[in-house]
This record gives sequence, C-alpha cells and structure tokens, in this order.
Amino acid sequence: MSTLPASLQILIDQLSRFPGVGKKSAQRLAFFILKNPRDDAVAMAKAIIDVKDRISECSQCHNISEDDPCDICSDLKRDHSTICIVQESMDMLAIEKTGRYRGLYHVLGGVLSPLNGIGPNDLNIDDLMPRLDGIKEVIFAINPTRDGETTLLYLSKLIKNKGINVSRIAQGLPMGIDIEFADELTLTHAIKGRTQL
Amino acid sequence: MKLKTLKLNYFRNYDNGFFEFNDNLNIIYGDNGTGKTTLLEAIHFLSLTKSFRAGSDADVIKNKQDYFQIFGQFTNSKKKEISVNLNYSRHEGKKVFLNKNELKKKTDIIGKIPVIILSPGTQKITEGGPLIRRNFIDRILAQINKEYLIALMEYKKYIYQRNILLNKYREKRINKYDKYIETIDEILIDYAYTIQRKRSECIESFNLVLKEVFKKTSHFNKEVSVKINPNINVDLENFKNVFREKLAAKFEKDILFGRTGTGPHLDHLLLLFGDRDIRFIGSHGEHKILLVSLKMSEGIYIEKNINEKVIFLLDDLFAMLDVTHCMNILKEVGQQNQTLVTTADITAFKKYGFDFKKYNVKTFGLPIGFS
Repeated sequence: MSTLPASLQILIDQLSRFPGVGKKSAQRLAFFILKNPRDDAVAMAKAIIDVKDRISECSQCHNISEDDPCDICSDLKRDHSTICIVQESMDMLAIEKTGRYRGLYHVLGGVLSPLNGIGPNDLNIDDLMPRLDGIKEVIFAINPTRDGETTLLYLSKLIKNKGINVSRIAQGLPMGIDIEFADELTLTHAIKGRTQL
Repeated sequence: MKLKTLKLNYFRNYDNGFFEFNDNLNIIYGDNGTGKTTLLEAIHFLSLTKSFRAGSDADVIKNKQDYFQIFGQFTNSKKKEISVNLNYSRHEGKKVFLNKNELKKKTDIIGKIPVIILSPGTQKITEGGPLIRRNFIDRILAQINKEYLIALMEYKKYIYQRNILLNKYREKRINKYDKYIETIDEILIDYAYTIQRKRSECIESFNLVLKEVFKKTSHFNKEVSVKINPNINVDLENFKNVFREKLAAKFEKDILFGRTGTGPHLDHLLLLFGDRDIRFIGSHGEHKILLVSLKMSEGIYIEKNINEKVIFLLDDLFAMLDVTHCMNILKEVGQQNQTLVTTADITAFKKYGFDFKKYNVKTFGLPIGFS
C-alpha cells in the first residue's frame, strides 16, 4: 500500500503520463516540485495552462501557432508557390532550423496506418487539396517508414493529376557516418539517389 | 564451411558437451534418446537461430536450468575462422555473437553458415500442403538473394495490412475500390513482380541441378522437376498490369472474405514425377527418394550461388532410405561436403562393408564415452 499523501500521489500519477516518464522518474519530478518554492510551481502550472489556451492549429497548414494563420503562412516574403508536406509540427521545426527552405508547409498530423486504424479521413488531407491551386511544387518530407511510404504514394496519386511538380527529400546517408556501418537498404537508396558532381 | 568444434551448455540433455568434427563424414550413433538429433539441432540453431523441431526456445533448455549456450567454431572455404555463439536465457532471451561481436539483428547470421537439414519431419515437403513447398523455395531464395528476402518480407507485411483494411471496409460497409487501397496495391504489385521474377528464374536453374542429383541418387528411370503454378499466370511483361486488374476486379470478393485472394502468396509449387504430381502418384519410397534429392539439390544450388560449401545434417537417414541408397548418398556427399549423419545402428555400415578409412569417417558414440 502507498503511504504517500493523496495529493502527492495524484501528482505522481499525472506526471507518469508523460511520454518517456515512468513511475520512478515521476516520483523524482514530484518531489522536486514539492521541495521548490511555491512560485516556481505556479509558474510551471501557468505555463502548462497557457500552452493549452493560447496555442491552436493554424487553419491553413495545421502547424501549431498562437496566431491564425500562423507566422509562416502569413509571411509574404516566403515562396507561396511551394508546399512542403510533413508528418508532424516537430518535423517542420527541424526543417525550419536549416534555414534552407523558404516555402510553405502542410502538417498531416500523422501517416496512413491500416494497423492502427488511421485512414485518409483521419489526416489533414481534405484541407490540403484546395491549397494546391496556384502551387508549382510539392515537396514530401515524410519519415521513410512503411506507413510513411504508403502515405507518400497515396498523396502523390492525388496530386499528380493537377500538373504540379512533386518531389521528395533525398534518402541516404546521414553526415558523419561510416559507410561500413550503414544498413543495406539505406545504402541501396543512397546509390540510387546519387547526385552528379 | 566446416564445423570444427561444437560446445554445448545446458542444451536439452547435455550439461556440458564438447565435440570435434572432421571435415568429411561424421557418424553419430547411439540408442534412442541419447541426444543424436540434439547435436544437429544445436548446429541448426547456429545457422538459422532456431530449431528444426517444433517448440519454443525455452523448451530446449535443460531441466531446472535458466539458460543454454552453443559455441561453434567454423572455417570457411578461404580458411578463415568464424566463431558463432548463441545464448538463450529465460530472462534475457536470445543473443547471437559472430566472432565475439553481438549482432544487433539476430537474423543477420542467416546465410553465413549454410546448412541443409534432412530429417523425417521434412517429408512434408513432398507430401504436405502448398505452403510447405512455397516455404521450401522461399528459404532457398532468401539465403542466396537479399533482394528477394526484402521483397518477400515487405510483400507479406503489405498483404497483412491490406487484409486488415479489407476487414475495416467490411465493418464500415464500404465496397468502393478507392485511392487508399489502390496505393497499397501499387506497392504490393512492385514487390510481387520481384517475387514472381526471382521464383521463375530460380526454378529454371534449380531444375537443372535437381535432374542431375536425382539421376545419381536413384535408380528410377524417370524425369523429375519442380514446376511453379503461379497464381498470376502471365509472362513478366504483362504481370504488373494483369495483377493490378485482378486486385481491382476481386476487390469486393476480398472484402467479403477479409483477405487478399490473388497474388504470388498463393502460388502453387508442384513436384513432378514424370509429368505427374508426385502427391497423387508417388509411392512411399518415391516420396523419400525425391525428398532426399530435393535436399541435396538445395545444398548444391545454394553452394553455386554463394560460393561457400554447405554442411549437410542428415537426421536418421536410414529410417528414410534403404541401405544401398544411403551408402551411395554418404559416399557422394561425404566426399564433397562436411556431413553429419545420425543413426541408431552403426553395425549396418560394417555389414555393408562401408570403408571408414577411405571415406575419412569419424564416429561418435553417444552418450559420450559410451562407445
């Protein structure tokens, strides 16, 4: 039987719902909160509530944002004739960090997965179609998993009839890797997708 | 590939076992239940990470113990030493080490130590259902061709996904062939094409080997061959289009049954004896001879393709064939390949004047030290 005070136990249970946080870690986090000043705890709680209150999805690209449309969709300096399709907002952030892409995004919110019961209607696909008017190029930046590949093929089928350039980001070796340790499938893609020097 | 030494810990009836094999023929004899087949099973574990007998890995651990270990020391045709170690514990599961380095993917060992197992259980290849014969050809191809292995694994996974989708559609009462299914089918078709192409290539060249081997091992004046009856029976040029049309045409029926009713996963493999299916006309003895020929051919075929000698594991050969046939086979394979054969009765060898010296035979009487 647990001898912890009820309120502390509730906190532990809540914290252990976080991804990657187990019972033990949740306990440590809870005791950390308990030992720190009340102001810190309030600030933390407020941050959590603010995130839920202020942030919503951009109605155009489904990126997370405080404004609607989001900063990227409303930025006139960006190239509005190119859309990059990503799986999650986090993927978009990763691409933004490179600073090499100046077009728009569309966040699918997942990939097609028969095993998990996710079909086309569960993704942000219906909103994508009207956005494609006047678009010159669509770039796919979807994780190269089995479900990712299915999704990519499905979407490219839908888009191809519209006379838009469709491309995908390159698949191959990450920087700093030894070729001898690369798996065969990756190497096969790397050789197939070699570029002219 | 030659197995030099084999060490066993807590494997079936062995506490500690240590065996040194010679490069040609090794005869393992002993009464029933002394652990003859177990030795072959251990080698099979090192080659394919699993047993050829049914049951889970935990069943193989000796009573009241927590783990088993198998150590094998091999040398390949280039005289390079290779050590393989497979450990299984009830708590930590299975681990495979190649030259003392743990393999991240256990299946990476497959194809490194090629073995061919012939045991009374493998008789189902000639007698059983189509699945077993498909597995026979799939296993040969998977060992010699990575492209085929990948295509086959992916194809099976997509068939599984498609079937789940079919069931969902039935629940939701959808029966329109939509873009989602079309997408999955498009991927399936690509993998199926590779499978169809490789299978027909393989069977053509495999038949040449089989014919040769059958002539040597049997006295029958008949032609034998393997024939594939593809589910999509068209030439490769039209394969993709025909398969695509069939998938679409049978879609409503597929929804009804909740599974995909067309494709290479339903190919039939026929073993022809003369020009007829052996399942219908073969006698008991003919089945056995054909099985032995198939297995010998499998070995030779794999060898040709990977440039490495296979190890033959012949479990209770005498239970399957008459003595004359057995002797012929042992003389033939024993000289070419390292061969391990188990028998309950070693006197037969002496009775039929088998020349142990000439064929460089090493014998193992079980239990150890019993002979």
